[in-house]
Amino acid sequence: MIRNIYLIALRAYLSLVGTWGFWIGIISMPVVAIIVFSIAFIAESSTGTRYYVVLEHGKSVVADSIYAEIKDRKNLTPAEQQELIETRIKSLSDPRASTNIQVMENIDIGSANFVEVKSPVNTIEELRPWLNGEKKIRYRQDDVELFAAIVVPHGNGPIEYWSQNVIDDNLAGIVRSALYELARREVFEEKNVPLTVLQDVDEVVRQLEKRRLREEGDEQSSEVTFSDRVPFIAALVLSTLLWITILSTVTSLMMGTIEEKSNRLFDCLLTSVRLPELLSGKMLGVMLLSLTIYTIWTLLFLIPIILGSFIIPGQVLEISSALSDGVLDPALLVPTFLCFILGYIMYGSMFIAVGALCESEQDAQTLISPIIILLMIPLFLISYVIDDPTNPIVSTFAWIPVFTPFLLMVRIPAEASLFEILGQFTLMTATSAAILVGSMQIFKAGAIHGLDVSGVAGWIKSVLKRKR
Amino acid sequence: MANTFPLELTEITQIFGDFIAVDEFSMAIPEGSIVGFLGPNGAGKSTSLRIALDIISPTFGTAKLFGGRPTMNSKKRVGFLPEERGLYKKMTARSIIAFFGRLKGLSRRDAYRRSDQLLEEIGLGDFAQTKCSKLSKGMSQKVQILCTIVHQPDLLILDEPFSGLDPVNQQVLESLISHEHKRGATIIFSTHVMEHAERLCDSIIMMARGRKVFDGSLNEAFEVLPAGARIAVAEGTDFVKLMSSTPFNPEPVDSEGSSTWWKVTLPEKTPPHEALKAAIDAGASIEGFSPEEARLRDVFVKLTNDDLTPHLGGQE
Repeated sequence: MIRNIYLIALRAYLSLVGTWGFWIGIISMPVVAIIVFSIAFIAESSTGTRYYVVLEHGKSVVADSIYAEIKDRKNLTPAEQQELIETRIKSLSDPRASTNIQVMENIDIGSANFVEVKSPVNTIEELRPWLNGEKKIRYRQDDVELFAAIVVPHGNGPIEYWSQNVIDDNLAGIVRSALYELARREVFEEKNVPLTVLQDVDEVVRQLEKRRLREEGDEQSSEVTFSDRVPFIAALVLSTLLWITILSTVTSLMMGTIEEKSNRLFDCLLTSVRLPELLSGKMLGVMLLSLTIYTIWTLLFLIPIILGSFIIPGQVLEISSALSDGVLDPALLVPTFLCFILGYIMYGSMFIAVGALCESEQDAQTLISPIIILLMIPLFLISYVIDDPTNPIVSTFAWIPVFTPFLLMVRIPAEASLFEILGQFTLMTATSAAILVGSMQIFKAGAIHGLDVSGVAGWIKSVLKRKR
Repeated sequence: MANTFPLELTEITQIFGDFIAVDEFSMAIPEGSIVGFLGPNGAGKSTSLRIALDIISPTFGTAKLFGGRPTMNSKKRVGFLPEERGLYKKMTARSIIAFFGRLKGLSRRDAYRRSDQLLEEIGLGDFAQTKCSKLSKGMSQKVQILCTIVHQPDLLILDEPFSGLDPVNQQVLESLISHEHKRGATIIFSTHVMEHAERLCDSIIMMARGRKVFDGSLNEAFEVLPAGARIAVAEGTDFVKLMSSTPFNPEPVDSEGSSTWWKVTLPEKTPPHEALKAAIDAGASIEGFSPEEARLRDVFVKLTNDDLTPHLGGQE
C-alpha cells in the first residue's frame, strides 16, 4: 500500500517539478515581490516637490504657522529642533515678521517636499487657471505647477484648502496641525501667558515609551521593539504564503485529475492501486510540491541573510534576521505546518472533486469560481489583522473551518487562547475529513462512473435515496 | 484436469439510473484461451470488462478473477487496455511503461529493463526518451499496449485494441497478442474487426443490448448461419422453376453479361457442391459457380440484429 502511494506521489511530483513552468513560477514569486516593493519605494520617493500658495490678507500668520509645522515634521537633530523653536518663538513674538518666500528652503517631509510660493493673484477665482494646471507659477527660475491654495478669509470662518488632488492629504494634515498650534498660541497671548511658556511646555513634554509585560524571568527589557512585532509580521507572511501555495498547487491537483479522467488513465491505475491509495498518492505528490516551493522560498530568503551580511545594509539585515527568527519559531511553525496540511487536504479534496467532474479545463473554470471566491475571504480578512490582531471579526471567522487554516495562524501571535486553538484545530480536522470523504465519493462518481457537472443533482438524489 | 477460468462473470447486471447496461450476463474465460468479445457499440462490453476488474461494482451478480473475488493481488496479474486511451503527456515512453510495471509490482530495475526491451521489440527504441505528447497516435497506442503487458500478465483484457491503428500496426498488434498467448497468457479482447477475431480467437462471445447472444467456438459461430453457394446460369433461364424439385431455394443477386447469378441457401450440413449437382441434374446451363463460406461478419450482423434469443455454443 505504502509503495503504491509512494509511486503515485512520485509520478505526480516529478511530472510537475520537472517542468519549466514550475521553476519559472517559483523564481518569479520573489522576483515579482522585489519588483513590487521596488516600484512602491520608487513611486513613494519620486513624488516631486509640491507648491502651494496662502491667500491671506495682512499679516502672514497662518502661512508662517504652516511653514513652522512643515519644518517641525522634518526629522531634525536636537540642535536643529532647538533652533526651530527659537525661530518660531521669535516669529510669533514679532507680529510683523513675515516669511521671506524667496529664501524659503525646501522642506522634506517624508518623501514629499512642500514649498510655499508667492501667489500671482489675490482671490481663489483668479487663481483658477493655476490650480487647474492651465498656467504655471513662477518659483525662482522655474515655472512650476500649483498643487494647492490655502485661503484664509477675514474673521473666524473656516480656512479653505483648495486642490485638484483629492487623494493626497499630507498638506491638508499639516495645515490642520498648524492651525491648532496657531490657536494655542493666540489663546496664550490673549491670556497674557508669555510665549516662552510654549518653549517650556515643549521641553517638559514627557516621552511615551511603549512597553509590554514579559514572562516572569525574562530578562529582556519591557520596551516594545521591532522584535515584538516580528511574530505578527511572520504570521502574516506565513499565512499569505500558505494562501498562495494552496491556491497554486491545488490547481495542479485538479488539472492532473482532469488529464487522468479525460485519458481514461484511471481505469488502468485502478487495476493496480486502490482508490484511497490513488487519491493519497496524488495529494501527497502535490503536497511535496508545495513543500518544495516553501523550502525554495525560505532558502531564497535566508541565503542572502546568511551569506550577504557584507553587502546588505545593517538595518535591513537586522530586520530580516529578526523576521527569519520569527518565521522559524516553533510556536508558529508547528501550527503553520498543521494548518497547511489540513488546509491542503480540505482545498485539495475540493479541487480533486471538481477535476473528477470535468472533462476539460474550460469545464473546471466555472466550477472553481465559487471556491476561489471562498478563498478570497480569508485573504481579505488577513488585511484587518495588520491593524488589529485581536479584531473580533477575524477571531469569529477563524472558527469557520474553511477559513481557519489562514486565520488561526495570524491569531496565534495575538495570544489566542488554548481553547480557541484546540477548538479550531478540532473543527478543521473534522471538516477536512468530511470534505475528503465527500470528495472521494464525487471522485468515484466522476472519474469512474463518468458523472459530469450536469449530472450532479441527479447523483446526489440517488445517493440520498440509497441512504434512505 | 478440470478447466480453470482466470475470469468469470456470473449473472452480472449493471443498472445506471433507469438504463440496464448489462443484463444477467455470464461468461467464463478458460485458461490459456484467446477469446473475442464482440458486440455493437453500447452492447455493454466495456462495462462488463470494467466489472470484471472491479473498477465498478455490479448491481447484481458476481465477478471472479483467478477463481476468487478480484483483489489487488489478483488484479496485479491482469493487464488491462481500456477502450479510450491516453498517457501522461509529460512522461517519456520509457518511464511511463516502467511506471505501470512498477505499479504492477516490478522492481525499478526490472521495470526499466522490461520497458527498454519492449520498446526495442516493437520498434520504438529510438523514441524511448520521447515525451508521450510528442508521439504519433499509433506510437502512443503501442506504448499503451506495452504498459499493459510490461509485467507479463497471466490475463490480458484488451478493450478494442485495434481501433485507431493502421493495417501495419494492426498486424504488429496481432503478432504481439499471439506472442503473449504463446507465452501462456489468457486473452480476451473486444473488437469490431471480425477478421482479427477470426484469425486470433479460439472462441467468441457476442453481446447485444446488454445480453449475451452467442458464446462458443468459431466453428459453432459459423454454424449459426446456413452455408450458401452462388450459381450463374444463362440469362432468361427460369432457375427457380428448374430448382423447385430440389431442397435449394435460389434468389437472383446479380447479372453479369449474358449470365445471371443466383444465391442458393444450403440446408444444414449440406456441402455447396450438392447445390451445383442439383442444378446440373435439373438441366440448367451452368456458367459459373462459387461456394460461399459463412463469415464471422455475417454471423455478427445476424446475431446482433436478431431478436434477443441467445445462440449458445459449447460454453452453455
